[in-house]
Amino acid sequence: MPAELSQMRLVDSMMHETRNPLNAIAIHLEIVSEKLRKSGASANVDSNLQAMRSQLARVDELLKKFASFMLPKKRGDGAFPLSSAVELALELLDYERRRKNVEVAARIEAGLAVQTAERSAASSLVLALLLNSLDRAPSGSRVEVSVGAENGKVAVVISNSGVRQLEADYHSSALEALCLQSGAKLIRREDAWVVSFPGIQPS
Amino acid sequence: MDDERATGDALSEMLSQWGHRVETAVDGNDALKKAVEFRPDVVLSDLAMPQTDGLWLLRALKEDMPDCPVVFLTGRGTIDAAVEAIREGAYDFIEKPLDPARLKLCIDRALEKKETMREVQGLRRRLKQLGPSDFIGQSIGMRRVFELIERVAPARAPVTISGESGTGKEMVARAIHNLSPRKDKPFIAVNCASIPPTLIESEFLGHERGAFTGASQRRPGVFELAHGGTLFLDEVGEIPVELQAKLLRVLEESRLRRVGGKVEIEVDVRLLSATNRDLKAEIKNGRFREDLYFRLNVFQIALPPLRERRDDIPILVQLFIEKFNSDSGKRVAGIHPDILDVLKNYEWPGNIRELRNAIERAVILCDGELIQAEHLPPDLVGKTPERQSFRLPYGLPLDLVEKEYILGSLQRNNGNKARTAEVLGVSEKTLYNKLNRYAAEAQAAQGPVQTGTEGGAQGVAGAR
Repeated sequence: MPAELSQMRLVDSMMHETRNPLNAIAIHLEIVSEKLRKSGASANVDSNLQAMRSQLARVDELLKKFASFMLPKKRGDGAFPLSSAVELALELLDYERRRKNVEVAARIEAGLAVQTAERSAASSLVLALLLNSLDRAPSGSRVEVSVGAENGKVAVVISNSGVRQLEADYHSSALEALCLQSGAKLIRREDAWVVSFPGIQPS
Repeated sequence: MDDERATGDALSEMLSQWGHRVETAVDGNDALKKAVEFRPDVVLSDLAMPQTDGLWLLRALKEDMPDCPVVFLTGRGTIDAAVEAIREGAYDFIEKPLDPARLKLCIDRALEKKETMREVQGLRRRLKQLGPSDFIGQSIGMRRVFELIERVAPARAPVTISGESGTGKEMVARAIHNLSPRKDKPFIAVNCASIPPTLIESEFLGHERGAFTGASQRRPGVFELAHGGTLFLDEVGEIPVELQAKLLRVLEESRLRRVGGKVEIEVDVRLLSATNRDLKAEIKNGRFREDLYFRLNVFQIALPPLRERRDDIPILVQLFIEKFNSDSGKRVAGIHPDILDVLKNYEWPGNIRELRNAIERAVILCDGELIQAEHLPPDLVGKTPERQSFRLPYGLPLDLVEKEYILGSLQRNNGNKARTAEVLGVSEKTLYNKLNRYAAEAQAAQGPVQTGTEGGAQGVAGAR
């Protein structure tokens, strides 16, 4: 079974299994709210109930982002929405960024999409490079991420301001495999990863 | 329906809190069995389940209960399946975790639609009972008209039909003819206002060849054409006074002489007439002969304007929808209840003709199931003139007069019951009791309609 299909089934299954309990919680929350309202006690706990609803919505939102990142929806023309995939990855990695005390400056041209053989490989490649940059960034430093179109290609550039050089051994076979699967070309510059995809698809 | 019993039970408790009567099921077979017994107004079901899933249930329900709205609950992984379900006829789908406000709104709308479709079915049944005729009505005023038509039809007596423009005077004339012993003979309708005064004598009596310039051949008049049958003269007040004497003679002697003719011809015609004019005033002004007036006015039928038979508007609307569906190959089922209220509150200066035109336009524009506000003529929607006066025909029972007055007052006060009760000088409780009674009577008048409800609570079989 192709990796993308396996991943799709895994994500679907995971979403079903996590959203069912979330759904049950939402229903019970509504029942409790109604019972409290009828007993006249809802005024004391309104803010708590509201907080629970907000947290529930927060978990659900995160799940949705995770699923969208893991399995980005193809556009109508079959292109992979690279700009939104990078945006989603940055949102999902926000905890990592805070933990490392790193500032991320993103400059993402909206709506850029590319042709790729495997969407999940393209997502994984973007994720691996972002994680690598965050891992290498010293506390208080800055990571710059840009997505832009040039000369018929869309490039994602991830650069670290706090380190002089990328670690030589990081350009591993795993990244090469992801490049092969996704059809991307990876260039290692002195302080940056540059990954480019062919075939700009106008959005 | 939900394969997780605990979630199904929780959803059932929540829906019960909202006032619905609920049955739950754990799989498709169980759901179908319970739905057949319970006859729910709405089915709420999980979409993705291990064995008989939501789509299976939807297809099975379409066989047994095609009008029952099905709402699906779905996780992210089944959105495509939910879209497919909508294509197959599901009412809506809601993503998990559910937003109670959204679910409430969805169920309310589904119930509203179910109720509308139920009303449409009721109207269709009534139309079927009334038979294939454009001339229908169940209001007190129209029932009186039908009674008069049946009584007068077998006689030979002339009938004067009065009523505003567009009320269907010619249809009354046709109904009298069709119910009379003359039904197999000709029915000739003539609008006197549309004939130039110089031609009216020739039109009525016919002419011989060479009777006047242009009379190149003999031509029979409408009396001759209607021989043995019925002649309907619309706008009879438009007949020039000098011709009225000749008309009177034909009526009294049943004989006529064509223009330019020498011999008298016998004619056997039943004359029906109609006018918008006040003929008594015309007599005073010397524009209408009194003897002709009495000759024509042996029997009178007064058609009520549409604004005085508002109860007939729903069935008339449905009649015209069916008619124009058939003419245009459309499949409009009915009209949205709010829009029907607009039509019921409009004054209809053009009467049934105006209503018919409005529905023809709406059916052409409507691509969905129900006619909505945007399909009606713009000058009709949002411009329903306020009822300033209270007019009813004589002959109504007192309790019906009270009902019309109460409903009219309620409309005048924009549905505000407290203000209406104050204006009427009764307590709010009294007003509510009367309104509830009217609603119950209206429902009973629609005949037995199978519902899946008890005590007003609506049933929802469903889960997650």
